[in-house]
Amino acid sequence: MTKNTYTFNKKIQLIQCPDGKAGIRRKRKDGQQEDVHARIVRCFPWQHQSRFISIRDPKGKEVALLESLDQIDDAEIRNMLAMEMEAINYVPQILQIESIHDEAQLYNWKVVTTAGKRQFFMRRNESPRQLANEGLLMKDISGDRYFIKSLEDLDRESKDKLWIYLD
Amino acid sequence: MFTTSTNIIEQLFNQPGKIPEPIAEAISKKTGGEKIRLYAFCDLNNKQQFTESWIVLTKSFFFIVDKNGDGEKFKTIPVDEIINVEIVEGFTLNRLYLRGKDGILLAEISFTRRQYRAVANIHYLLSQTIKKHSDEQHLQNGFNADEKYYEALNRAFLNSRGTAHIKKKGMVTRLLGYAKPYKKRIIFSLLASIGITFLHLLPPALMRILIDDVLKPVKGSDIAAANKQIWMIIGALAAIWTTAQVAHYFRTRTMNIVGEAVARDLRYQLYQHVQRLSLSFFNTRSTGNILSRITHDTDRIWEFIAHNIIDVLISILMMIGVGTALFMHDPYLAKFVIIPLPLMIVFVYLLRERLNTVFLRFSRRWSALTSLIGNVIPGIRVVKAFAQEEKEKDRFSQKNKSVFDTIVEAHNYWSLVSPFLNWMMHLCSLIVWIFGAPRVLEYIITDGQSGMSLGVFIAFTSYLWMFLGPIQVLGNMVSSLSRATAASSRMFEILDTKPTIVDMKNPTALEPLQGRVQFENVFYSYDGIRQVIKGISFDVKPGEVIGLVGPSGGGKSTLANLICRFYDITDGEIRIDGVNIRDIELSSFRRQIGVVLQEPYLFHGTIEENIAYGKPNAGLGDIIEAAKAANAHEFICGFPDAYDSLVGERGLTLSGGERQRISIARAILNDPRVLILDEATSSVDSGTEKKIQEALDNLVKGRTTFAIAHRLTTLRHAHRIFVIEAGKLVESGTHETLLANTEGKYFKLHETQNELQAMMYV
Repeated sequence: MTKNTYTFNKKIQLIQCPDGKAGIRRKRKDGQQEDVHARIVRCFPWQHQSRFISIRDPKGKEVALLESLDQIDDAEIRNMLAMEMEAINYVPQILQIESIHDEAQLYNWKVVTTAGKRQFFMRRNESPRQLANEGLLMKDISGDRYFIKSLEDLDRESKDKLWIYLD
Repeated sequence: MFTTSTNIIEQLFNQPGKIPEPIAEAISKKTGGEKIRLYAFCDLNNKQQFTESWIVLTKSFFFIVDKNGDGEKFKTIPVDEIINVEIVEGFTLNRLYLRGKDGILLAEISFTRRQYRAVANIHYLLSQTIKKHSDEQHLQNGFNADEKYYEALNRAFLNSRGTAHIKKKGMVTRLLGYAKPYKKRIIFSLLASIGITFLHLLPPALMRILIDDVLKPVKGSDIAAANKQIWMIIGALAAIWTTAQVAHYFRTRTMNIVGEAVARDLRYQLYQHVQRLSLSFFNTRSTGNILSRITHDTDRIWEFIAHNIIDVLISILMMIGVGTALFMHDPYLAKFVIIPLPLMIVFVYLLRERLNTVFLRFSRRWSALTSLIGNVIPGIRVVKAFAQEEKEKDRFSQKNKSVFDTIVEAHNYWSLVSPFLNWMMHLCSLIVWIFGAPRVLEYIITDGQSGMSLGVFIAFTSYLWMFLGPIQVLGNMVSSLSRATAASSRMFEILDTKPTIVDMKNPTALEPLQGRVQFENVFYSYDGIRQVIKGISFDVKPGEVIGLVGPSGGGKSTLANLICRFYDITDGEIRIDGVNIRDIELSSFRRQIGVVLQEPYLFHGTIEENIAYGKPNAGLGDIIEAAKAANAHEFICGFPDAYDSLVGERGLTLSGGERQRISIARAILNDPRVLILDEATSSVDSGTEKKIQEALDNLVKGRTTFAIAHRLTTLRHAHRIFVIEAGKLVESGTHETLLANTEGKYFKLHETQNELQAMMYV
């Protein structure tokens, strides 16, 4: 069924499912082999993107821990994992800030991101979070995240508007 | 109600407020008239770009509608081809997978967290349909898809703010409405203000008269008469200034008191309203949040009413008055002098706006600093145990420095205000000199035929400086107004929230309650879609002790909340003594229910006050009896202040077992007919455990009790045990009969509990 696999140990194999998604092939208690979809979780989603990747079954139980993506020789499997992680960890990057309005309790942000234009609300007492590498991470009231890669990359007007919210 | 709501969604989230008519119609056609059960908006495509798609669920079909040029592209999946539905959560990007036979991917849809609830509703409904669950039956009662979409999107908003839409327009009027009862005093203050303004305008005019009409013409005329006039003017000035200041005293005092009275009225109304609100309100807000509204925000309102309103009115009056006076004296010069004034007002306004943003930044950094302290000091043990003092010092130093940097910036701007304004005023004076001085010379040379008299010139310079105050007030006006509206909106948000659990008209007062509790096919859901209680039925006779057990999250606490009517059920009926719970008068009902919580809450007060909380008129003897029955009397008398000891925040620190027993005494004194007991899971030493058990036995005697039980002893003594799992009553019976069923859930729970206890005591 699949040509590319990566073997963790006698019991667990990382495979590519027929629908293109990452899967786990494992032996059940009764000796039967089963294929299930895998959930790929980065242990350090912000600090270390390709190290310590937890491979979990659909119920959330970890079946293997990849210390580094480079452990996998098979380029297709590696790409499959990378793509999936990128999708799940996708956060629109803010390229430009059009306006930030104070609306009693909430701030109304209008921005332009890598995914297109967006309007979102942030709670008054939630500051943007400073990431280790200069980036800023923002979370809106629905839980959606947006990030700014580097303050220096923003244009002058955007920086001015952002100024108050920085710690 | 609906058109405004859809507009809100569009305004807030920049997405359609409900599914577009053409799409709904097309779907109706494709399904042969099936009703749309639910829909959601999906705003990401597979290239991680924002887009506009809809997913729609009807009875037999699942549709994905994508934008295709000017029209739409429909993908149709029959519901019975779907074997599996899965949501995978990511940071911002989430995916819904629909899989068919042999695991083929039927659809992969991306969306942001904003749409999560709406999509999750569809996921839930679809899964129920696929599994052919009995919930499905219930869900077919139908709900309005438009409403569910609106609620799903709005939820995040409501959690942060309470009302999605705050009408700015009526706010000031509404606020001023609170000042209505004090109309007379306000009118008095207004009149006094007008009077004071007028009085202030007189002295420069008198000065002019003194110079032009008395001092100058004196050469060669009656010195005695001139002297008399001088003294009259001096007298007039003294009278004017004294009257003005006396009026000023009365006015200021009156407005301050009116402001305080309004703040007092608002605080009371807020507090009173908060007391009436249902439990669901408190679940989404922090105590600090509510506290600051009642204290800090009402303070802002005081400032607005006591000072800002009158100050603005007076400033406008003053400017009109002074302007008029200037034009009356010399229109030519007045024109030039007036020019810089609007600029100065704009300057103050801009400076204030800038200062506000700097202060905002400052206050964020300041709270970051205080949070750090509030975070580290309570954990000082950990800091020392891990020897991280240096690191903590560095962290503090960094934040301290950033606070300093912002406040320095604030001072840079703030220090500008006075010097700049004064400089501008001097500039105006210079203008008077530049254009005025030659005209004074002209007057002297032409001997009064043309030009400007000295008296007018001096009056002019005096009047000019009267602009300074009003300019500052008017410049700061916008900022004061926005602070006040922000504070008002926070308060009105609470005042506009309606309590959800209310009495019906003509409720039945059931007193005394016998204690028969019946549940008939009860369903409860927090959000109208996910059922937390799924069709529970039972009949508990007065005096029965029921043990509620089951896995956490299964619905035990919700059941207890429903019995107390903290929430209203969505389907079925709850009957107390044969009467529908909704028909019973709330306060009489609640007074006859007792609650002993896991974490007993003691108010700040004496032990006596805490025990007698539900019965303020209880006799001392009764209080002691209750304490004895709760095995608390002994330890209470062990404290030097005994029953007069202060407990709560700033009082005695009691141990967990002691708090439990005081809370049990409180319940015993209250003598409830129905008791809800939420047992603490924390273990105490076996001596205390025995005392608590005895206390509970005393408490439970003869009362209908629902005990969310963790103790084996409670379970053994219960008349019946209800096993609640996933919102259903799965097993019921006595402890012995349930244990006899070795395949049953109760048996398994019991086993695990035994194992844990064995481990603890070894």
